[in-house]
Amino acid sequence: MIEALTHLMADRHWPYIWPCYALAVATFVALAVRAALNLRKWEKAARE
Amino acid sequence: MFAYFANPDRFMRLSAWGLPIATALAVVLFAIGLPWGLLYAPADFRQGESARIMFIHVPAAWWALGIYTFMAVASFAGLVWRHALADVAARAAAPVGAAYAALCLITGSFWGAPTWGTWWEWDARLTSMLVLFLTYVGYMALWGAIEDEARAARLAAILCLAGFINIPIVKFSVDWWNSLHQPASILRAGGSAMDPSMMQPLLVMAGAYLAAFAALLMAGMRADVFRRRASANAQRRARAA
Amino acid sequence: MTGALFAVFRRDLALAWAAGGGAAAPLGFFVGATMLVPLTAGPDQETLALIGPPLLWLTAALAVLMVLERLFQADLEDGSLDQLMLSEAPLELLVAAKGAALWVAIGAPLALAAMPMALAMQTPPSAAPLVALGLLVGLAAFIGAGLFGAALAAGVRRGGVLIAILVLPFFAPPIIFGAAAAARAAEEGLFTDAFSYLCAATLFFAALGPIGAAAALRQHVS
Repeated sequence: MIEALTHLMADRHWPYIWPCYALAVATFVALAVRAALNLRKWEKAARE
Repeated sequence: MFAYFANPDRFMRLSAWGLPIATALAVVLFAIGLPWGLLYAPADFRQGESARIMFIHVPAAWWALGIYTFMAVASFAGLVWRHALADVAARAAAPVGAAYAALCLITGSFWGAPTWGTWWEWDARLTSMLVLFLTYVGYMALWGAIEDEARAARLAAILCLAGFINIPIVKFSVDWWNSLHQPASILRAGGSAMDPSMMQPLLVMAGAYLAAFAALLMAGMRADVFRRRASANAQRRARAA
Repeated sequence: MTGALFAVFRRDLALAWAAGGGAAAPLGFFVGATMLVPLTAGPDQETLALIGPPLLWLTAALAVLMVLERLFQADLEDGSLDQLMLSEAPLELLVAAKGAALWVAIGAPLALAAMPMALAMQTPPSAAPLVALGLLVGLAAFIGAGLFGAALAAGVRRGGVLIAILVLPFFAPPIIFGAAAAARAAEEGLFTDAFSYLCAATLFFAALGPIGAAAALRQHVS
């Protein structure tokens, strides 16, 4: 896996590839965190 | 089948275990799909390694369209059949769809820059996808702007249905107009043109995006149901006091 | 029934012309914004001739956005919307009558003003009326879609921005075809493919806009 990664990082398209993967991960993390916080807030509010 | 899910209590019972399952499924599929697409799938013959962006871009595009279709069906169910949870579902789906559309547009730019030599092109496919993103934004803005929830739900449903005309335009834009964007290679008459070694990771990623949507949808819907319960409790207490 | 429709048409025409000088605000915006184009793009004649007519479409579309916010707001507030719904004429046609009044009161002056503006954009004199005619057609599409957006956001405080967000996606087809028609008017005359698509788009929005608007308005009054 490390060789595949180092091979990829040397490719001229690497500066275009990694932002896409990073953005996808960041997007899903952000959506998940937002959803979890929202759910926790209203679940607590409904219990009162 | 729709009527089965209209009961909020039943939905809450189902989603109580549905949500963790969908979340786990999404995590697993991403854990498999991301390294597969990034490292192990073969590079494209003509485009080289940049074709790896496809595994992020294409599922986002598919589901941006799919989620809007889901919202349109939900809007119809809410307007016409007065399905109790339909507008809750549509409202919860919108931010996910918008995020997918934005992801599609941005990763598409990154893919286009080395491939076509331009970060953006006002051709039919890109423009109609941008229009879809703006429609999502308008939908969410409308929900936020109308105070009465029931009224907001119905107005948003009308807007969603009106905007649905863009969906076939996005899908068929590459066929109808000469486009910079490549033509359909997967869902088209005559069968797919993609090699299985790329198709498989693509399908895994598509599954991951779908599982993530299902999880986010259920989380959003549950939060909304709780919010309504909380507000109903507060009203009851205020009246009793 | 036609009596009711004409009454709405005349009333809205009068309102559009009376309120704040009627077409003055959108006209002023149209002329002013168009004037900015050579200031941004430079006075080079060839450049202007290329981008001028299409940009007229942009400024005209934005000018329509200006009048949309007040369109149903006044009717909603003073109760005349409820009255309209009691009329024997279907709400869809009444809304279409409002749209027609807007087209006459504001669309026609904008299209007329487009002629000197097109000339200012170095369009050959033979093509300027064609650009204006295309705009007149396209403005009906903008108004149709605008009716829908204004109806959805009727009563929202400072709803102008919201209406713009809702309506701009629907402006895209008429503006794409119309701008293309305007760009080609100098060489290919009036009946280009683009103009045909523009007419089709206009028929579509002019017909469906009032229908969607009526559906939305009913939600506001229920």
